[in-house]
Amino acid sequence: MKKYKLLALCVISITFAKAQKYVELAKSCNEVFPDQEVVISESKVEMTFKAVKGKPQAIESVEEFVVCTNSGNKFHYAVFYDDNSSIDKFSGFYSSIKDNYSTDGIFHSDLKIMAGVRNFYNFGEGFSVKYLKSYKDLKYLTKINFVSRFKTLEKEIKITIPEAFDVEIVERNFDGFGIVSNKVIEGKNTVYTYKLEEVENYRAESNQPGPSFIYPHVLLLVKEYSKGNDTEFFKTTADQYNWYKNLVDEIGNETETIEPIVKQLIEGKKTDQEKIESIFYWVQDNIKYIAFEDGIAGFKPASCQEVYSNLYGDCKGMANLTKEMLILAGYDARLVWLGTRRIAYDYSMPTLAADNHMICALRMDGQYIYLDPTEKFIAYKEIAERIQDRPVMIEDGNTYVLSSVNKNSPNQNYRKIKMQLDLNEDLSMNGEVEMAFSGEYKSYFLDLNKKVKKKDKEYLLQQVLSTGENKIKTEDLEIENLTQGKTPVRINGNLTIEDVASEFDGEIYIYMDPFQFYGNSKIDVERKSDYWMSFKKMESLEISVAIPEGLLVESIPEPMQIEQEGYAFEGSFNLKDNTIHYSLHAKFTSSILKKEDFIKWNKILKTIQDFYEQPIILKRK
Amino acid sequence: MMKHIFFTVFLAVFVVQAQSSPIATLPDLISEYEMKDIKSYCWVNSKFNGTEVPEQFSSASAVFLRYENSIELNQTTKNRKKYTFLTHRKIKLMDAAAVERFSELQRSDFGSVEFNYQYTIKSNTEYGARVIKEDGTIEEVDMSDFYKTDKLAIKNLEKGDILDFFYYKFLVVADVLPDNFPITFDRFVMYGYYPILNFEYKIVTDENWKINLINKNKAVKQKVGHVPNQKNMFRFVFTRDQLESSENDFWFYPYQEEAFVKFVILNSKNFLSKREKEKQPLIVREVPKKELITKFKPYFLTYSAGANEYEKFRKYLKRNNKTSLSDHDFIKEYYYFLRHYFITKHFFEKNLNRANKDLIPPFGHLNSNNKIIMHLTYGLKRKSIPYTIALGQTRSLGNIDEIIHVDEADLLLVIESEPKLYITEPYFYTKYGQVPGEVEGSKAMELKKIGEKSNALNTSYFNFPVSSHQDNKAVYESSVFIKPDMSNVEVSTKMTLKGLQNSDLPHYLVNWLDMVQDEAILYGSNITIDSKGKSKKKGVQIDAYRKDISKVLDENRESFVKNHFDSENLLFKEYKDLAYGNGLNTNDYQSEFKCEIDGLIKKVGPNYVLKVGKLVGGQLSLDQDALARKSGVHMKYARSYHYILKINIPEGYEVKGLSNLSNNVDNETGSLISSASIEENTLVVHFDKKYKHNYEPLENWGLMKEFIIAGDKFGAKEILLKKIK
Repeated sequence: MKKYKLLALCVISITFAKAQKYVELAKSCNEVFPDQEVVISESKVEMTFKAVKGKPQAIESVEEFVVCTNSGNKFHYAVFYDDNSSIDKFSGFYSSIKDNYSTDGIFHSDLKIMAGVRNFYNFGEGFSVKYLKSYKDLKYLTKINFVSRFKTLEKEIKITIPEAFDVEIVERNFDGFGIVSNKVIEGKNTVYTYKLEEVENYRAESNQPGPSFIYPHVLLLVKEYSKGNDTEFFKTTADQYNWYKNLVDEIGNETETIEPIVKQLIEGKKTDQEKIESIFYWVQDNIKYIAFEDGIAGFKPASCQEVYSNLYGDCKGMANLTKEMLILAGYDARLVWLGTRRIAYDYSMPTLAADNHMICALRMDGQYIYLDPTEKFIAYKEIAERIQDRPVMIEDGNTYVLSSVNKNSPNQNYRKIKMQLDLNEDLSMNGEVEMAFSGEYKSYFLDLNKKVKKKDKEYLLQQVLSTGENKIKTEDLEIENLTQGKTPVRINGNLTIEDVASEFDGEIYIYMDPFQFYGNSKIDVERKSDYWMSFKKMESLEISVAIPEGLLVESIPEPMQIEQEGYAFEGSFNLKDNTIHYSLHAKFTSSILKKEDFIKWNKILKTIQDFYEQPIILKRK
Repeated sequence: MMKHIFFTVFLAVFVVQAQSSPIATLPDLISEYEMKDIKSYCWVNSKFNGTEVPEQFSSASAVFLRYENSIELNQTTKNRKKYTFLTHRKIKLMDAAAVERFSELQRSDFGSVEFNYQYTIKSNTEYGARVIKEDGTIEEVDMSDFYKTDKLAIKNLEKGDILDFFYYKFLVVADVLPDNFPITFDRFVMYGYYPILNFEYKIVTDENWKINLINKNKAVKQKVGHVPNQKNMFRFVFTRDQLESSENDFWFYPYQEEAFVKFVILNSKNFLSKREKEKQPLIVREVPKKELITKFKPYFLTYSAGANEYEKFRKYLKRNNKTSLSDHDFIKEYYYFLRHYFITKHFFEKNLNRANKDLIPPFGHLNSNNKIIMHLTYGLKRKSIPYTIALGQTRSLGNIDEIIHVDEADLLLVIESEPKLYITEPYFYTKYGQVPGEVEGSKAMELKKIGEKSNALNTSYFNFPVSSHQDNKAVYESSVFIKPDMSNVEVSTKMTLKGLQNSDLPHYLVNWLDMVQDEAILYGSNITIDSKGKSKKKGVQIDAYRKDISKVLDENRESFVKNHFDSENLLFKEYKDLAYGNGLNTNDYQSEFKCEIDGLIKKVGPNYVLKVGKLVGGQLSLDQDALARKSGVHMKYARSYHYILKINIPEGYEVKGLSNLSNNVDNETGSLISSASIEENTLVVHFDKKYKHNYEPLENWGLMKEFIIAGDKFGAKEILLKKIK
């Protein structure tokens, strides 16, 4: 252990801080973690599985020593719990509060918070936080995270498992964290110990992978408690499925309620696709997504009649309604459990941590077609990036099918812009424009379009077409295909682009690309996580500019071609019949930019930027 | 069996009767309702039951069919008062966006009325919501979860539905109120995000209240009378039909542009009954002149608490041989002395012992308690320097004629000199003699002693002076060095902020700790901000504080420089204060910052193009919505910006395209004048932008656009560095 070990040992026995008693410790913390308000100098987490009144439970005991490493602050500390756990002791604060906790995007959950606040007045003050948390239903205890909101000098996690418990420990993301692990048998207990030093806290980088991909943690697979027989655990994935199935069996769907709407939706529809689309799009359009993560309700879908009459539901409720409607229409529809791309697990292990989403699958011609009604305006057979290629568990009566969602091509999500412009005397350009977009581009736009007031829709179109650039002015815009389906949204109209040319002594430099897609997408090479784009995509921009009489084209820039694993850019200028044709095509076949590729990406970006900024040079005759 | 049937029938009849209770039996006053019956007030007894949307609103996303607020104030027993309020909204959802918006309600959607109270004996609240479908069927929303979660998901909501919800609350309080105590204050501008078909604000009180109300531009219709059969209960009803929706522009002061209502309800024994007897209007619309005189009279009396600080000040003058100062210099010295004593020094000392330390001085508020002004008056009296008091109102909130309560007035001390000198309550970067931009040009009420020996005051009106764009000038002088390898540019900029431009930014940028240390030396304060010579404990404390301040300043300064050049491709190198500009040594804030900017120079064949316009930095850019402005332009103050760029011309190159940098837009609202020239081996660019007034009527927006757009376009201007053959 390092130099601060001794210091930390000195302080651990002292519960409450005296002013500036831990100046040396705070300085050590500062050396390792500069610019922090507080640092945890030592954190001890003990997770002990035990029987409480004959019921298998786990008790988490946490003790952390907090040191003030700035000139003073209000230190906030919080522990979360839910309907299946409780905070039994919480000490170190003069006062604490318990309350419901809400997060963005979740309308209602059973998540609760126990929080304490303590004032630090000076650098070098410190005190101990202790709490005890009981997990009353071990199904919901899925993991122990090794990082927290605070940077920590030393951390020790000890897991004690008596022989009556069969718990598998699965280590994740340990590489690069210097974790020293140990497993010993102490009497009738198996004890796992993990020690870490200089532990970074959670980071908030934009577009980062889900936490289960980047932070060290252990998954706890509680498989059996040999002294009890009334408790459900997951020894295998089949056990997990059976538990899900039992919940589904309890839904109590009353499909007669939804029969009339199904009849109405498929009436007159001839092909399977027409019928399925009619139902799928109706759910997308009419059922508002509201997230509920309330205890068992976090796993049990609401009944089809409830979602239908409420006109809102969470992913499970919407999937269940879609499934029941499709069954009524004569199709083999199933519920599908899955984790979105934020989740790093699959169904090779039985754990509730593998799931955070539910969709519906159609079994047709021996294939599964996945339908996610929470993805507003996504077309039938189009798949949102967040679930593409994700492992899924599909219901199949008393058993289940493990598969994965198909991975769609980037062509699903395209944005194509075509302009036919004239160069004016004042060196602005104006003419006709046509924009078309599909897939997730379309889905995103239509969702936004639905949410803005009638009055603001014109403004939204202007913003979409000008990509927010004030030098692009639009007029007479018309829009087509505002409904679901694969037909792309089309916007047509006229536009004027200003400030695209400079004149130097009779030479006119024209910059053809007013958008310069990705030109400013430089990635900070200090960033610690891979960069996850929203989706794979394809961009196409074609601009034709007629050169007026009196001007001669002196030079046009060289083309650009970039082909990398995961993305490609191609740009060119051509002169034909006194018209300059500019084209830019970009394709992202992967939505992930790996950290090790950031430097290369930035270099390529420079090439792309240089291409954008190369002018066409015209000369006055 | 018979008995069972009878009982069932009886129950059924009872239920039907209960559901359709005769309207006449329901109380007229909300305070008389049982909690369980308040729904009936909104949903059964409501005098407004319209559901149709007139043609003029047919393209709206949603229409408030009914927007109702009710307040009732009753004296229930000698020592108890009951305050009740109700907010009631009835919204027709006209499109999918409205369905999306209103299918989840938060507590704030229900509205509220705030009362000033202290001792609550009892209180209760009730929320209710229902959906009226297009076919007339009604679905009541289960509110049970709402009380726990503050969120409500509305089931089965569709386009065409009417969402009808209310919030009701009563409080029984045991407060004994002094005369003229404001129990509630409210103001609202008559425009909204959605149109309103039927607006009603109802106030019911007993006789012991006074309502002072502004109904600007006849924002609402007023109806005053008694509650039927209750001689001592008065009812004030403010209504408005068919109110259009409106969207905010930027630089928009709604209390200057729009009709609005503002009222305060004050405790006033028998006020209403007396007024009625005297056949006077029951609603008053008055500037509380008498109260203003009462409140501000102490500023003309000798403020004995000021003696201590005055003595300290005198000692400071003596120490520094400043005993024979002119009146103006005396006031100036005293102003800054008091600012140090009560603001800057106090701020440092207070924060040093706080947990949540302020790392930069928070913005002060014009309408503070004016304690330092009181101290100042002590000194003025001792020196027999004549002064008066000027009261104004922040322009964004209206004007002095429209204040309805004394606490709304902003105070300035006026020194009776030629020209008059205006002094505000000092704060970190306020200047002696500077009128805050918020009140410039607005109407002011002057309070003045009638005579030397009399303590009586009289009032008169005048307008605060207005500073000019020359007074409020920001100057940026940049030396730009193009690196020999033409890879990027190094920029060193000296910034000078004058007048009112030097008021907000220093809060973010100045190393105030150093500034206070300089002040402490000047005034001989017994504070040391340096850790040297301090106890170990104190030294550690000060060093840690200094480090935290430096960290936040570094972040602020880097962010400021990036914003200034509107560039993320910028390597921030250095920022230093040259002059604090706090009025002590200089009135102007000066600093110097250095950075490198990528992407401004690009190779084209053998030549290079330099994006000169970007070196001026970000300029206001108007999108299509902003171009089509709908309201007058209200700005904080007139101002000008002058940028001087001196750019080295790399050896072997000549500059082409100088004329691209020329602009000459000048009109009555502002100007954008720019030019470029070559001086020896340097390209010199001048860019001068002026906003000539702090207000322009809407009809002048076209003129303003001329210079704003020209300024924005300058950002795209380039020159060519042509290789000399």
